[in-house]
Amino acid sequence: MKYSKRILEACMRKIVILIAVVMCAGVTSFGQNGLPQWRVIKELHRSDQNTGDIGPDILFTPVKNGVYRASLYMSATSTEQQNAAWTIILDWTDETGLGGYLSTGAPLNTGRGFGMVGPSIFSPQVGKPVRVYILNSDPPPQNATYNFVMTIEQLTH
Amino acid sequence: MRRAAVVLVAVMMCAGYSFGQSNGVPQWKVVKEGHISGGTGAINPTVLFTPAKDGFYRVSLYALTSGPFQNSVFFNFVVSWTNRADGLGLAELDECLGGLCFQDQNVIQVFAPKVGTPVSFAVITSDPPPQDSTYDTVFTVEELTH
Repeated sequence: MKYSKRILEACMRKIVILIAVVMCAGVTSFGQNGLPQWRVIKELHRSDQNTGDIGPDILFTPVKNGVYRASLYMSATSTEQQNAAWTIILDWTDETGLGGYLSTGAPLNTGRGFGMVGPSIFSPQVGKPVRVYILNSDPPPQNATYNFVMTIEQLTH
Repeated sequence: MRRAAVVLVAVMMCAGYSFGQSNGVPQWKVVKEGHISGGTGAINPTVLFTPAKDGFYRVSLYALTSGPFQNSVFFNFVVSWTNRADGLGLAELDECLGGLCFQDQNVIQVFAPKVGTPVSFAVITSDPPPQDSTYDTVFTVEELTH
């Protein structure tokens, strides 16, 4: 009985070592190749909204030079066709000092619409905010709602 | 020992989860990255990698040029490959230094290179090349992988 317990412990030890090795190999293969990776650092989504003219809201302010990748999607539905839309805008100051922006919108001329843009790469100036805002058309949409999602990835170690 | 095994398995599961591999869905993973700051001249085609098996890749290329106004001069940033139909594939940015042209662009493109053929990066300049001008560029190549 004592003998078999010793064998069991020896087997257990081997299994633990094996698991540790597999785990290390797994960690190595899952993005630890020493190269920077694209990682989502900001995500924002809203569903069934009907309020436009939001923002600008600051998403983040870069503290060092870097490259980012933004993706935007927006959709809207209405009970009626109308010449109105919502627009989502992401803006920043480029590292050159010039203004940069990315935008898409959801028109309601057929009663439903969507738009998407990106992924698109940008390099914002350090210390200047990256902002998002949502605009109403003039006149604004009536009896309608919108959804949107945006992600910002950073190329990072 | 049994307790150690339990802890180890728990840590392993957490590690697997945090690296996004628990859902069994392939992920985009950067397999090549390059960047140049303050570049001024052409770079001959440089092999990034040669795929050993069929796969899908996504190139992200960004470039920014700056310099005085010059007509008909440009920097051209190119990632190129041979596609599975033996055609030439390109992800390309043309950046001129004239008036109404782009000096800050990006391209993101999925591609499927032919096995055994190189995927390369190059910077090409006009003839004559831009004067007193510099560029910053960064590219990544991601592979869709488990």
